[in-house]
Amino acid sequence: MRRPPLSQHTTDVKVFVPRASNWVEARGGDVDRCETFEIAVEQRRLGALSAPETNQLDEHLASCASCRQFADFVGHSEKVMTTADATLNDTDWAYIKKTLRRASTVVRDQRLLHFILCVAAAPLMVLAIGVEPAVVLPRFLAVMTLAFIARVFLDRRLAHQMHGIGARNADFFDRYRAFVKRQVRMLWLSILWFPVFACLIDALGWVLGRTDEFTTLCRGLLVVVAVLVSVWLYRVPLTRYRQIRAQLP
Amino acid sequence: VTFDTVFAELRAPVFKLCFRMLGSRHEAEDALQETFLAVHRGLSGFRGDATVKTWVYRIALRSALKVRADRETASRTLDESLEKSVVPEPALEAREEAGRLQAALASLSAEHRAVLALSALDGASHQEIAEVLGIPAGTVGSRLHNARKRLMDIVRPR
Repeated sequence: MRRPPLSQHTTDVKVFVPRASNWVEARGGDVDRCETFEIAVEQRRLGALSAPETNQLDEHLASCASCRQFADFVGHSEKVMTTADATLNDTDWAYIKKTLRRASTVVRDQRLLHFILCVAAAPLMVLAIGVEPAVVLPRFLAVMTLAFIARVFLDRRLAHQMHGIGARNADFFDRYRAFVKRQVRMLWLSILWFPVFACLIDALGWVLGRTDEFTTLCRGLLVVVAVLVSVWLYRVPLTRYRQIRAQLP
Repeated sequence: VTFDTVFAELRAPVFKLCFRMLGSRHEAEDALQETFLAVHRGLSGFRGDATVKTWVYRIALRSALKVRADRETASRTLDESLEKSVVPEPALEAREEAGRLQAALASLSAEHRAVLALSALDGASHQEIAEVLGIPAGTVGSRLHNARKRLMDIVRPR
């Protein structure tokens, strides 16, 4: 069945009101035509009908029990939807706003963490790639840089998951915020540790009068330790995240 | 436009929209928080392609759909919704009808529920609904009609 032709539009909004000449007294007899008027009922609620179109619709409703029933149902369902609305009092809003503020702090901290990691990774990478092998640091820094970059991505994924859960739990945000702050502090310390460790290795080799092989071995060991520490740093928030998640309803 | 302004102006309609989408106060709060978190993150990069209200409503719908998708069982939410719905002192029959309507709303598809929820917002215009849903303005009426008919069929089967 085809829908009847639409009206000439008297406003700039396209509506589904048929030409008056095509309107019929659809007392349950012409379902398709009634559907057009039912759509017009919805359009009227949204203020999309012109005055003449509204009058035409009213005329039709006066003579069509089926469309009138639909219009009544529209009004009734709207009323139920609006009266059944839950409301929030001032305390609820204050709590929500407090949670949002905490959440935004976490987001800011997270951005700071990523920024610092990226800024730190760039020169380390240049140093690792550009410096001669004989000079302090190279392999160690290269691996550490890669570990750092890996942690950036892991942190991003973790943070994404935590935000989803944290939005539902204000206490969680307090703990997570504290965690992020510790992460930032540890990062600063790490940046200082790398050159210090590398210099210590070289100094140790020089003091002990050992060979280059000894220094290389020590560097290798340090790289392993550094990677393990990096993995551990990631395991800590991951474990914490799992613990918190298990406690949530 | 600052976050505080957006929050103050749109928090109530966003909560209503989420509640009507989800039928549960608790879940509506979750969706509300996720919505405004996303608004907070994205407001600085908001390009103004749509109005702020349309943009926020879109986010709210997405958040509500996400919460809805996370929902473990439809029946749990339906029960909660019926418990928390406050219909002021209706007659028993009307109360039953309201209960059936709420249950029917919960069983509608997300698409149908979204258009009904948006149309029930105070002052929501034809054009705004179209923009939020990303559909042509001319199809808002027919989509709304389809949703309403579906609702009617569930509540008052022929």
